[in-house]
Amino acid sequence: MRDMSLHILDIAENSVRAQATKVDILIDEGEISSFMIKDNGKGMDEETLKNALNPFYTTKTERKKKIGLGLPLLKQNVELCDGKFRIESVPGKGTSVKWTVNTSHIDSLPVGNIEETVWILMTMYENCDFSFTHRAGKKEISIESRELKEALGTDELNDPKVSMIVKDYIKEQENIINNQEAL
Amino acid sequence: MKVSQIKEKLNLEYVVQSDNEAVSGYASDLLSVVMGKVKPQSVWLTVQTHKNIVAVAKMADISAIVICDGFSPDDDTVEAAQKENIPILKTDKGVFEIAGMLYESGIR
Repeated sequence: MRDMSLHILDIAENSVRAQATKVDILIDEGEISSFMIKDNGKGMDEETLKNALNPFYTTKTERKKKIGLGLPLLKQNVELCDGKFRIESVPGKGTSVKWTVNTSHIDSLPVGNIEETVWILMTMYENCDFSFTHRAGKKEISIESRELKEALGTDELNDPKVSMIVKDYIKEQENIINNQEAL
Repeated sequence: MKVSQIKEKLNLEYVVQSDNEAVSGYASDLLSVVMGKVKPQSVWLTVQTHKNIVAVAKMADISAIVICDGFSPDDDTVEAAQKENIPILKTDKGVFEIAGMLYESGIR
């Protein structure tokens, strides 16, 4: 993966496949950036959890070759740049994946296009609510897909018109994080 | 061309010995890019040493992994490659030089 936003999309899609109805995503940017994806999905037993970090394991039965690189690649990329990686799971309760990266490490992955990731998640997976919090220094934004659904008066965020409104809103919020103070 | 022939021509060292037919080549260290771009039956040049390279090689039908610039694969990488029957070779030469030699030898 070329950046963290792609890893986040990948891991959050694991949550959706684990039948989560709520996924919390947190990014806290700094010299040491921390990331968290927490879901209320079906969780994993000890055996599955151990295997989740083995690239020669997948729960996807449609795969001919038994390979699953999502979590192993993320862990590799995190450890490559002196970060810490942690996954916890309770069967029936959910799973959380947390990691940090030392952003001064030359090989550390940039955050990337997080707007796109949040937009895809919020508009593609209607049965799941996403909460996205992004902090950078003193700035903080928070976007809740449940609130967007209520404000827009529809659960169908994938409707083309609604989807564009959601996209613009996410972009606007992210601009608060990325831009210098408006002059 | 056989991986064993490439090994002789380019003076590479076997870490995990196995033989395959190779028809193409690829060089990159970003595993997700390799998965998306590499052609089947390629020789893959990289400096990555993590176990994940074996999973990528298996998934993408890669014929052999050549670890360049004097790096050595991790122990669990070697173990996985033996189990999956994927040849790993190493060399002190850099990716650029090995790619040039491969190209010269007829792997395009």
